[in-house]
Amino acid sequence: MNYITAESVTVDYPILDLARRSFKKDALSWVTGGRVGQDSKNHLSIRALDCIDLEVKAGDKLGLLGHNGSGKSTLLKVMAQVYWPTSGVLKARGKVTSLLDLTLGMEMEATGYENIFLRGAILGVKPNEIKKTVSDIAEFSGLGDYLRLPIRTYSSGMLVRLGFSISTAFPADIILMDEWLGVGDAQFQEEANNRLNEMTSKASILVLASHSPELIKKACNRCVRLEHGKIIEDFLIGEQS
Amino acid sequence: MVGILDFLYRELTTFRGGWHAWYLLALQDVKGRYRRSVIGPFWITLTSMFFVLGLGLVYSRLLNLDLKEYLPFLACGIIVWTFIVTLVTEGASAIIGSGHIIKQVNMPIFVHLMRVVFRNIIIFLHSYIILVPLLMWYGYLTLYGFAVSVLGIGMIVFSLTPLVALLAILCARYRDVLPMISSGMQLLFFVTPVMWHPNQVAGLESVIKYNFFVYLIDLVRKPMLNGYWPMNSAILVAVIGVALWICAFFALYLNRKNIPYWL
Repeated sequence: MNYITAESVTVDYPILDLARRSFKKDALSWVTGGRVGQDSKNHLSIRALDCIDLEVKAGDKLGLLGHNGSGKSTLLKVMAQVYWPTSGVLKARGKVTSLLDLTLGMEMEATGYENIFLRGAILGVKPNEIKKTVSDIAEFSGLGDYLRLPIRTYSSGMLVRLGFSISTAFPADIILMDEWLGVGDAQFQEEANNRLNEMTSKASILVLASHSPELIKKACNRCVRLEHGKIIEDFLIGEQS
Repeated sequence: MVGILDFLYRELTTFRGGWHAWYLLALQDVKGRYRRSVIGPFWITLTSMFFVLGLGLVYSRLLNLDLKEYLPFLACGIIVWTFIVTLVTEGASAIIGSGHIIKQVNMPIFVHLMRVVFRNIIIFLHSYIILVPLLMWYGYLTLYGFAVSVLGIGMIVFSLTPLVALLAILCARYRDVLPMISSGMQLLFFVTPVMWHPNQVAGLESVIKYNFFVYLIDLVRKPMLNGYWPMNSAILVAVIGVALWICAFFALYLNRKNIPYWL
């Protein structure tokens, strides 16, 4: 079974300012046994998450609500196992697909086809598996012969279409999203919505961060409200209303 | 203990099942550099050819040396040295350069390092090939020498990859180290027998003796020029290489949690 468990997860972003980041200071403090550079040890940091306890089970479609800077994105990145908790433990099982940046790894000068493979590589998919889905991606993105052109010739809408089509082409156990994706024109938007719904219903866990309670009500069955890096509310959506 | 083994295993998948990621990214890097150019990466070949010929012609006169002796020596040295320098300096910025990926996706760090290493191997091979006709023309090249020089390239890559990993971690943490490395390599160039033969300069023996890069260059230059495998250098490089790999894994393991925060 797939799950994500967070036990008193705290994340502090260190502010490595110039004084802190200098090699000289650290070397000095090594040489002098930590006397000279000592004050710089207490460097500034920003607490993004504060003792988060959270258990996400298979079947949970979790919505994260909160203001800007409340820690939603940080929590997503901790769940993606990009940022390690400064203290506390995060355990997760299942293949994570992060839809946080759809065009990550893509090269502007490379053709659409080449980018399918590049993006696939970043997603951790083997080339022969990507090959099988190339026609599906080509069809869904609706880009057709454009895929033979370098993606710098694409409009921004086409770019997102391609990124979206590749990122959603492979099954995932845990899907992480920052806002529901608004991609392309009205027609594609609908297709994309269908595809996302299909994909998230197949995945056992969805975590969606958003500002909009309506969206979360629609897509999720559980909601967590964050404020200043703390969970202030955790409820099942069906029950509340 | 389990943690470090898990970590080690995951990083090592970079070389087993996960090689296609860095392979594709590196290939794309090279392709990207020479896209829409007619001869593409063979500009590297042409550039190093002109460089070696120009330098050889001028310096052989300046130093009063026989072109037949000096040019092949210089060519082997400078081509391998260029490879080492670009590998070390680009590799040192590998983690910083892949920061946008590291902050979004959880992948083994070695993917990002191998991307840079492999990219540099591809580029190096484009200038390495000019040694073949050049040394054949002057009658130095033997089939055995060529074959073992390829082994030498393999050993250079083997020992520099972990070095690059260590430097990349250091550079991600301390942003002063990267320029330090570039100027350091510049300085090393002058004390490394690339432009000059060790026999020509007296009093630099110890500088040569303790310069690791001399042994690396030997692994390609000796086979190509003299047709034999420098076993002593090879053993030294292998031992240092293994030690560096251990250090690199250990350093990565210790810093794995911090690297994303530094970027």
